[in-house]
Amino acid sequence: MNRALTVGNRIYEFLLFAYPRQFRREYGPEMASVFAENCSETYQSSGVSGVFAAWYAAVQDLFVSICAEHVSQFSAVLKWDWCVLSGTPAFAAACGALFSILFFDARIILAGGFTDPPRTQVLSFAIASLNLAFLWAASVVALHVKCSARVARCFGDPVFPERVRAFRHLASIALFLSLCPTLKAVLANSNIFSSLRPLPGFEHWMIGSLTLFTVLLGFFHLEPLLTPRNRFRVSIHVHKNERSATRK
Amino acid sequence: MSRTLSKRRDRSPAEFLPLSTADFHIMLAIADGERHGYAIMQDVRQTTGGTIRLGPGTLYRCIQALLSENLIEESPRRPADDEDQRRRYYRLSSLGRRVIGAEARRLAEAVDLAKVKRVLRRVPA
Repeated sequence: MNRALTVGNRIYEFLLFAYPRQFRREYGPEMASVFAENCSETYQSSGVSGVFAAWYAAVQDLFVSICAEHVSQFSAVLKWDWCVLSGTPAFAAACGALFSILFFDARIILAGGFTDPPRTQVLSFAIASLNLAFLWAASVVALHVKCSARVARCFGDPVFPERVRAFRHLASIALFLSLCPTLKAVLANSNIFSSLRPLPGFEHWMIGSLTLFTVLLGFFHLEPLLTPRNRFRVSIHVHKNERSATRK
Repeated sequence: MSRTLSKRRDRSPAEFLPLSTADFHIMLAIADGERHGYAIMQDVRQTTGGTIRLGPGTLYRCIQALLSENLIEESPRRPADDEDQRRRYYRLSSLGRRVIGAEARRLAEAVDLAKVKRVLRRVPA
């Protein structure tokens, strides 16, 4: 039976991988230890049926706490992103552009999008998704490109990469939200290839270009506006110190 | 990350009230001395007569939240050689001690009120 308990403990340790990484690193070994002690003691007091009951309770507990931890971490990250992005006008403008695309999506979904011909629907969703993908890719590239002196100056500022990361995170969420209706529209359309041909009107493409322009403007041409305020710089440093202290 | 978003300022014990049931019992378990996770779990189960059974996931989520609110702290004590080396010991912070006192008073007032309204009758000896 000891071997069975050991295997059970290994399985439990494996299930702990479903927790967010930060939580798992911090508390995973202790949780595994608590579970092992609980199973061992239950086996001595109640036998095999007790171990099954412990497992049943543990699986319930895992399911609830994993979901709760993911939700709370996600909301904490969103709050942090919002806090970071709302610091300067340029990033607020970029964030506004992002949300305008989301509203564009919402308009298609809620007001007449489904009354359009299927081809228009697919194209609209695809363009919206493409715009978001552009934004996401721009933020990824901005995190890695350091060749330009202007960009290097921005990256010398400890707050700038934090902002880009926050923006990328928001863009990836928006991209995911936008891709879902796109896929739905594509699957609903009988002729996918013909639907991907451009429409005569350019209004959708204009929205994409304007968004990209706004983002590039925010990232590179409005650099003075990216300079953080003092209070904000202090809060970022506090955040970093706390994170490093927590890791230690 | 959540702890970094909360503003660091001196909060009065009343601002933490009411505590959740799990938080209250975890703090109560370590009120009379430092304990490790499994001991806290056992203590909560025994003191509540098995009504509240904390699983490892719920227990450590609560511990994480209490640590971030500075209501409990990790003890420097390390497990003995014959114990599981993954154990960590937790104890109440001074703020936590004030908070659990305030919560206990709040609950005592609720019990008094229940008595006044004759919801709670004295059990005859």
